[in-house]
Amino acid sequence: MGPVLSCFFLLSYYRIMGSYLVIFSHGLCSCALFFLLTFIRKNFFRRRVFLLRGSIVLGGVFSFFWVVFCFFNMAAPPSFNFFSELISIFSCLLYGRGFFFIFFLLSVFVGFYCVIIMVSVMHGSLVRHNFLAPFSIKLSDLLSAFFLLFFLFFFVFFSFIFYC
Amino acid sequence: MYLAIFLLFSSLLFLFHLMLTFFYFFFYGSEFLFDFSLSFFACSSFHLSFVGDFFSFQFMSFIILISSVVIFYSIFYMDGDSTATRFISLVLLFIFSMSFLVVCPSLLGLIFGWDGLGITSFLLVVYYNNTSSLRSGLITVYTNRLGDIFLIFSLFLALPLGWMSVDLFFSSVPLIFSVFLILAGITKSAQLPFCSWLPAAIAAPTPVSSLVHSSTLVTAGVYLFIRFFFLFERVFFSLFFLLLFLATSLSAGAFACLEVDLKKLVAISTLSQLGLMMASLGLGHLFFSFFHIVRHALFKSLLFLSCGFLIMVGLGLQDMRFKGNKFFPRGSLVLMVIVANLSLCGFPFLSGFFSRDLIIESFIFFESGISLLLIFFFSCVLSVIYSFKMLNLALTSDLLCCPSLLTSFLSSNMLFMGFLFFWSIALGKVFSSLFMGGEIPLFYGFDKFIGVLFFFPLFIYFFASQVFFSFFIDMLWLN
Repeated sequence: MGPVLSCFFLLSYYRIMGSYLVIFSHGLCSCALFFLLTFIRKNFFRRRVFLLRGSIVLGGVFSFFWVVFCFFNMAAPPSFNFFSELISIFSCLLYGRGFFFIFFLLSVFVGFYCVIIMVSVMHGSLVRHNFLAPFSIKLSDLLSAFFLLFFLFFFVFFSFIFYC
Repeated sequence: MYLAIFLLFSSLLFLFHLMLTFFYFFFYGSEFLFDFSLSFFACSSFHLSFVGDFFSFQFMSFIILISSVVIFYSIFYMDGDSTATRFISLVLLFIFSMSFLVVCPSLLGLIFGWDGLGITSFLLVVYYNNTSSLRSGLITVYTNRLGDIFLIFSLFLALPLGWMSVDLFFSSVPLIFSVFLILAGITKSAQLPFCSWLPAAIAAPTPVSSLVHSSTLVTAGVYLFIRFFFLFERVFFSLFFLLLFLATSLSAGAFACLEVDLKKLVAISTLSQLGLMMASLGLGHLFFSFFHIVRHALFKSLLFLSCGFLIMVGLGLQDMRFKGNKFFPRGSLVLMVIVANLSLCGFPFLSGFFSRDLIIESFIFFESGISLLLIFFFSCVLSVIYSFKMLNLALTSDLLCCPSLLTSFLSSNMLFMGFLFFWSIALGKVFSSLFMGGEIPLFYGFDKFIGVLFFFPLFIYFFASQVFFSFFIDMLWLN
């Protein structure tokens, strides 16, 4: 939110729109991540990252969405996050080159922790206990995750074309 | 079921390859550009452009050929894998990102493919769930992410120049933009400060390594430089970057001579060849670098695929000291290893020779004193040494082999790898006759032949004493 505020208080049309888009995209993406976290909590009965390992072997919708939303949170290109971050960062950098180093480090660290979040749940050997038994996905879960993904893809073109 | 999917995609990609081959023969000498400008209401327009010239058509054609062969090969290699669907979807995403990168000339379009390559390569490197693959995958993704951020910031620096469209090609850019673009390229192509991820990325399954290290991921940086070459010629002519690329080539060659891991040796040899291509770009020879990319892609993917088979037959052991050909009934596969290796070290009249020899000759004509030339020659000699060391260690000893695995290798695999085999012999002569025209050859006639004579007795000596004799003796005794 810090970059959003710094972008917002520079007060021009592009900057305000950029920060607005960052808020919007981050809202969608982190909402999906929290939803998937609830999903983990319900099915694995734990939230400590060193106990959650290797769930990519299950290969289900959950793994797919977890990977996709972690990379979207990192602002990987085909996502709404990427475009909004592009607009906000660029409009900030146009104000002064002093932002250059700060935003560089920011992007690097965002990339690092998103990869770590993704890997800590997805990678490693799967801990085999009984808690895999209720690992079944409901249609409503799938639909809500799908809607979020659809919004993220849809707003790529829509909002980018409108506000750029 | 996965067999049908693999077969389908392999054959589709092969048809696509044939189509692209037709294109670059048919449209040779002409270039065209599709620029889709999407504008809505009162907003600024969104450009998406695709370029079709000689570079993009030929490079994409061979990328598609290699990926077709690799997918067909992974029917055999990924047999019994429970997550084959994940594998094939990731590989297809990877190929799609690379194709997007090849055909998009604008920076905004290019960054889609660029970042997609980083992410999918990470997911492929950590395909096996163990600690070592995780470690190398993290190295890969962090370095590539750094390269992505360099590219994003260079996109900012090109903001006033038309960053979304191909207007960039018709404007003069600031120096800092060129520096950022070069930094992005050398992270992707693993030049010296950022070269640690390339040997680490061999933790991927072997077909994927064959894609990553030959044609797709590591050549993305070189392809970026080829595409934006005229923008930063003045930076490239600076001695600093040339020295950096030569140092990469030299140090990679030296490390490869000390390496005993078969797959890692092939990866490090890729590093040294990349240094060679980059150095050729630094000399200002765009075409030589491009020709070397294409040839290198073909023989390196052949080398990786056949070495993957050697590793599989040796029960997953990658240490070359435990390899051997004692029970080897498939002489054709050994022939593939030998030809790919010879092409790697620039054996006369194989495909690697024609491109690398041109780079060597252009180095002779470069006016910078003799020290750079000596460094360059030394790195070339190192490439000969490590490739012969690989041949010697991987094929002549007779220690460990699993004969029952030999029967599982599909004969149709040999047919598909035969395309790569044919091109890694014939591509040099055919394409330098077809596409280089009359103006390119630096040495010709007898002068060229002197260079060949200089290397030839050395090759014959090595080859006869180290490889051929023991190979034939083993064949006589055991088969």
